[in-house]
Amino acid sequence: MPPDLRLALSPTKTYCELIAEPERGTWLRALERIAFVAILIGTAVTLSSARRLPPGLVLMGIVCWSFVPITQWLIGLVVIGRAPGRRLSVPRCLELLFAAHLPWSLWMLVTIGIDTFTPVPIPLVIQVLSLLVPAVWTTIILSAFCRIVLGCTPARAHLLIVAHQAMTWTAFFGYVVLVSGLWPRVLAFIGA
Amino acid sequence: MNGARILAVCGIAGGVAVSALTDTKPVREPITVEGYQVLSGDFHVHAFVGDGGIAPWSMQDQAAHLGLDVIAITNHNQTLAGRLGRSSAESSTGPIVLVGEEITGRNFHLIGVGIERAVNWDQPARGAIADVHAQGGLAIAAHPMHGFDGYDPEGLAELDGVEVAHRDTLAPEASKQFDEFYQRAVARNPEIAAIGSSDFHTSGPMGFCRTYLFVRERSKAGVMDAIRDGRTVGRCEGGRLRGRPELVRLLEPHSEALAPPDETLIQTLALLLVWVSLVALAIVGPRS
Repeated sequence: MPPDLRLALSPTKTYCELIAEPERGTWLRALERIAFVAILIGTAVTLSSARRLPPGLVLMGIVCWSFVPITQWLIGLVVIGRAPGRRLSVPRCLELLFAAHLPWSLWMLVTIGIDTFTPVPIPLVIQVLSLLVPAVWTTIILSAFCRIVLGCTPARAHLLIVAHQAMTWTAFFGYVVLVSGLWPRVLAFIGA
Repeated sequence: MNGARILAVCGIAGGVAVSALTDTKPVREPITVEGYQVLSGDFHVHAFVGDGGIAPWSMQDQAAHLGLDVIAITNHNQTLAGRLGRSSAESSTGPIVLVGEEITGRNFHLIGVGIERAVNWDQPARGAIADVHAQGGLAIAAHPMHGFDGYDPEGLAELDGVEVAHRDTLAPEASKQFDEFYQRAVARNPEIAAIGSSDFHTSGPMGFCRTYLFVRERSKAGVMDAIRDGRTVGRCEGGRLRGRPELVRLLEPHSEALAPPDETLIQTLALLLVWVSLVALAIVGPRS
């Protein structure tokens, strides 16, 4: 079974195995993880948006949407920097953090697949509620990451998970508010 | 596991190659009706640096592939994407790219087309329409269903256009609300333009709903004049033409010629191959 899938299904056991491997953390490998996620997002969004995939358009999509893994990478750096007990190098920790991408990657690909290849539109409520699946799943993997990879106590692990999720969701909602005119809709909703 | 990874990468590369090889721009004979050239436009599309999926500088090429002659890039409460899209399109002979904005207010969404600066959203619709006009732009009521139809009678009379064909009109209840709003607007301004818009974000296609314009010349001025004078008809793919009956009658004989190009089976299969390969690649990861 591939490591990313094993990690998604059995995070604690898999992280234990991965940290037992010889340290091979390099910044290049950590950057490779960013590129991997950027390729997934950029290609999938281009597929869904344009319904055609000329290489130039795909490349542009990858470049544009790379801000998502770069933001995650920066958030990861902050979290890893707050774990003084870790025994692995920062790039190795980043690589192992990014190995937890599967819940969100699958959510994105399934959503895009339904949207692109079926005539059935996904109701907004279902889309929003479905976010809970990767969010909860990722939190479980993150918990194992903080305890096993970063060597945190349970209390500190909880703190780092909260910090990681708070930064992630703040970045997400910040972007949504900025680009989708969400603020006027919120004001209308609350009757302000 | 390397075998699965190689297969996934080959699947993506193969799908991209097939998609690129079958990627053609439709060539359509110009359609002239009663001295007017008929153009296809989409005046409500979103681009990246916003909640759209495609970079603004790629929008013109995308529009050309969908048989559109003119688009307006209309991100929420900003004109940056529109200006980026226009600047990259200026030197090309492809579709006209207009700068626009979806002014996203509390109880209205208003498309401003042909403007430069973002309009203050935190004001009544009538004020936003006046600000669009002050910049020489056109004001179009966007998806005027309940919740987005906050126009007082004076504001309604000031509108240049109303979206009558939109993906939301595919739902019968919403379609009824669009029709009611259009009738109210026509009662105030009989020559108001009937607009078809895709409201394209990240799921395509752009131009799914579009506007047919009767223009005197194929230029920004020609397009803006056609909307100001109400020489437009809106339609969603597979749907009926909506707008002034005399204009609908003129377009009906050309309905098929104006339809968006169809996606071929091989193009759909290429997309499916890439999607399956992406799922496989996500599961196997970047390396062992």
